[in-house]
Amino acid sequence: MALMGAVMSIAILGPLLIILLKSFEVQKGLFASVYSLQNYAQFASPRIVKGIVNSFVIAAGSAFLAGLFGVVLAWITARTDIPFRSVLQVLNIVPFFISPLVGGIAWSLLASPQTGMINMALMGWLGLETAPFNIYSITGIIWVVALFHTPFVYLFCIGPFRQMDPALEEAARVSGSNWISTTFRITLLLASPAIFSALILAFVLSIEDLGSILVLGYPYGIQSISTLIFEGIEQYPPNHSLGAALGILLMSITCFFIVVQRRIMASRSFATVTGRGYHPPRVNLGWGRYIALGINLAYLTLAVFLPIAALLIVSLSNAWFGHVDLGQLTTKYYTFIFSTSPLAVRGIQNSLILATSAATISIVIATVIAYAIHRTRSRMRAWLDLVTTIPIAVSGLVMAVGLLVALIRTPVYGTLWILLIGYVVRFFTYGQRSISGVILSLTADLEESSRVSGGNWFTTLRRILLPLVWPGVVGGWLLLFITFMREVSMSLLLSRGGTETLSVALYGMMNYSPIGAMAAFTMVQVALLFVAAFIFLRLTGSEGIRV
Amino acid sequence: MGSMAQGLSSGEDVKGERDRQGYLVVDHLTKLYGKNRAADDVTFTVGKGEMVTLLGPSGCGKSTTLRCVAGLETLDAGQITIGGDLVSSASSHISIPPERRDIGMVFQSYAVWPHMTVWGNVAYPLQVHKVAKDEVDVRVRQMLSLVGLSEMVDRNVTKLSGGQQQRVVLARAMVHNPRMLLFDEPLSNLDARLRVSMRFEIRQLQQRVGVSALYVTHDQTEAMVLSDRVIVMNQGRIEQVGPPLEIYQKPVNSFVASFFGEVNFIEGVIGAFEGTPVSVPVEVKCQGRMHRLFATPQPGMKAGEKVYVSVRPQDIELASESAATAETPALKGTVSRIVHMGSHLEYFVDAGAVQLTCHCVREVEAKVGTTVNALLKADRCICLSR
Ligand SMILES: Nc1ncnc2c1ncn2[C@@H]1O[C@H](COP(=O)(O)OP(=O)(O)OP(=O)(O)O)[C@@H](O)[C@H]1O
Ligand SMILES: [Mg+2]
Repeated sequence: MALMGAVMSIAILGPLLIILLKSFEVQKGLFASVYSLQNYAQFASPRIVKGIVNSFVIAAGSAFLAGLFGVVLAWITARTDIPFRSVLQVLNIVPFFISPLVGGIAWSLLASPQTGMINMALMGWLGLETAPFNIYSITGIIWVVALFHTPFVYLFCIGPFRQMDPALEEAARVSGSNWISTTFRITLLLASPAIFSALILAFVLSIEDLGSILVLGYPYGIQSISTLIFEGIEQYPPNHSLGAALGILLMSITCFFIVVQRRIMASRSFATVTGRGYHPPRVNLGWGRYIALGINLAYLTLAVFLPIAALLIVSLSNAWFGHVDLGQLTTKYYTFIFSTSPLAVRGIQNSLILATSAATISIVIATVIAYAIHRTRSRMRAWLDLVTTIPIAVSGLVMAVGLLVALIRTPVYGTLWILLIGYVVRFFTYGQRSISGVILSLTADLEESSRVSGGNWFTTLRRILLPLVWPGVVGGWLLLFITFMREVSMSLLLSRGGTETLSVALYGMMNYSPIGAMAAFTMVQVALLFVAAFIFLRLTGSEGIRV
Repeated sequence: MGSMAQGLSSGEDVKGERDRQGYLVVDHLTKLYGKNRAADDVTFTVGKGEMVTLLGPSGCGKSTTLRCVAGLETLDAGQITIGGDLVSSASSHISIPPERRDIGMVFQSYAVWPHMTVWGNVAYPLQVHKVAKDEVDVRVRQMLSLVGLSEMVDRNVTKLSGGQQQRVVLARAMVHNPRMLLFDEPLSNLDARLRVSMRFEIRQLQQRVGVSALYVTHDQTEAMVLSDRVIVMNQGRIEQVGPPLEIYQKPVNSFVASFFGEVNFIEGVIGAFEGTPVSVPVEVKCQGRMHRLFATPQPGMKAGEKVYVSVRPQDIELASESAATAETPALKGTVSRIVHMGSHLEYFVDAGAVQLTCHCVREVEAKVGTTVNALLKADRCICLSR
């Protein structure tokens, strides 16, 4: 246990230290280097300033929009008499399983100024000269990122909405306030710590996101901190030092916000929102419930139905010019993917291998560490608790840069191993949170009863704790598996020829293959994710996701 | 196994005698949580087959003491022996793990294992003790019929009612014939009616099996019903040990008196006396006048000592103002409130600085606002130091 704690500490902190050193290193000639602030001085260049500004604008804009969508959806599905509530509660999570890269690709099919389906349709109907939407813009990126980050906010807020002590609202109603002002002045105010932390989370997620901006912005000259890092690492010759310096910048931003978020969660008391299984009354919307249903369906259409329909149509069309031609339907691109394209097959294989093994390793580590934190008196507990939140605050992109710099001269570089290490180190903490949640819900006397009945430590672990924690282990494993299947940022930085994952292969096809092949491949990824998501939701329900 | 520890051969008289007096011996136990002395120099014994209750307000260290006996906590000072075996000792760093102490324990939250059936829960202690398969089944069924759950063998425990779950836990704690049973407020999650009937059941089972038991509760009536002896604790320390009735009738201090049933306290000062009389005079100032009451002193109390005169509400007799009360000391006061409790009546008597509560079985001739004499018989009054 202590050994595992030590290994994980090194694996998490090591790359960060190396990246910090690297960010001060300046190459002088082939073999010599000096330490200076020169990399950071480059931040003043207009190109980088522009990227930083873009990052903030996109993150703030999409966090605001995702916050709006998420809070509204959470409220209408948790607290109103909207029809089909239980179905909607599950469907609203679905965009969570679509990666931002896939979302970006799908929306470029829908709203690119040249061949976007929505643009073409609107131009046809309204007789417009030019396309009304341009997805390849800051606004477009904000839109797509917001759509796919909405489930995070939604998941964060629906719990507090559901579990709110009804007495608090009833008190307001009794003292004469109607449901609208009660909702705004009591319900939302009480949920505001959750809402605020959800907004911060959405902000952090989008500032570290590489997928959507790589599709929608980068090819059209829109840079962000994440694309600048990507460019620094991928260009030839690579500029690791600049990448590292930008990584430190990104890390400072995300760490700052995560610390703020933790503070909010810790300080503002959630005591008003207890977990005692209340069922707060649902607001009776009358005919307004159909408006609520309309709003929810509109979201699902934009985030799930339209993107998938677009991908499906394009993948089945012989050639794509923005119109559906029923006479030209073909499955040749699917055949292409599975028979002709080694890249696609490799991507699928690699991702399946990586996701399976990384999820298994992560969940084992997660279980041991969660056990150590909650069920032992180990002196490492506080330390483990701290170290395991670091990967959340640091972001995958920065960890990937750190691992790359740390391992570039080792045989691990360019193999699946470096991806495996990266995945585990960055994401095991989510598995740990899922298991910790289960362990915390078990009172210690379940195990103590076993001890006093004569079961020793190991018997107790095997016959009492593990069976009880098992649902958390399975749920955590599936969630990690899904996360790894849709992972973009780390994979793009750590993959080399031969070790492409689904996302990397997809990015490659986006640049080098016909649009139909790319769409078909995206559909394959979506299908794989949906199968995994279906099993996951079947087993654990939407509460199983810990964001 | 417990059955071995319980079996006394005739040649072991010494051991038998020792077990009668102290099967469980807790010796100067101290447990610290940081600077908080959760259990502070606690010493007591539980005899063979005896049921002893740890009674006290929330946070007084009852559970801590019990958990130390169970081996779930390590001691900071002192030692514990069970059946002559040293199981915990702070000075020699001995702490036998719970599973090797041969005990059974019932927790406040039932702590049934939700992933096992009723049978599985009760069989577990036998299985981990490596009892043969067919014997396990026989003993589990025996135990379940003893607690009245024969019908429920294959039920999912989480589908049982609170009372039934508690029976499962009871069966689980006793099925392997442990040498000691530990209870940590096992009835506090049950509703009042069930609590009353379960009390008797637990007591009956314990007596039938003849196992020694230590029972934690903060409910005084529970302690009275269940125990051979009661240990009253406060702030980590033991205040008094004795049979329940003795504690009720002769509390040694005001904490015990007030925690163990209702009580009236009257402030006073012990007057002059000679020798060691059964009762001593106590001067009480009431409505501007000095009154002389008589009360049983604690050993070693001297004249001039500030004390409380403690008297139970049902031990106060009310008499109308005119009635002759020559011998019995009394305090004069006004009836401020009368409450019918069904089984008895509660009279609140306002005697200036002193407020008295009196329980009368029958109605007395006194209305609200009238003046009465509250008679305080010497043999019902006790001096407790302030
Ligand atoms: N694990 C712990 N860590 C720190 N302090 C503790 C711990 N367990 C108990 N305490 C403290 O020790 C004291 C005694 O606690 P204990 O649980 O023994 O009380 P109790 O008499 O059982 O009370 P209750 O009737 O509420 O169960 C309390 O002040 C409590 O806050
Ligand atoms: Mg307790």
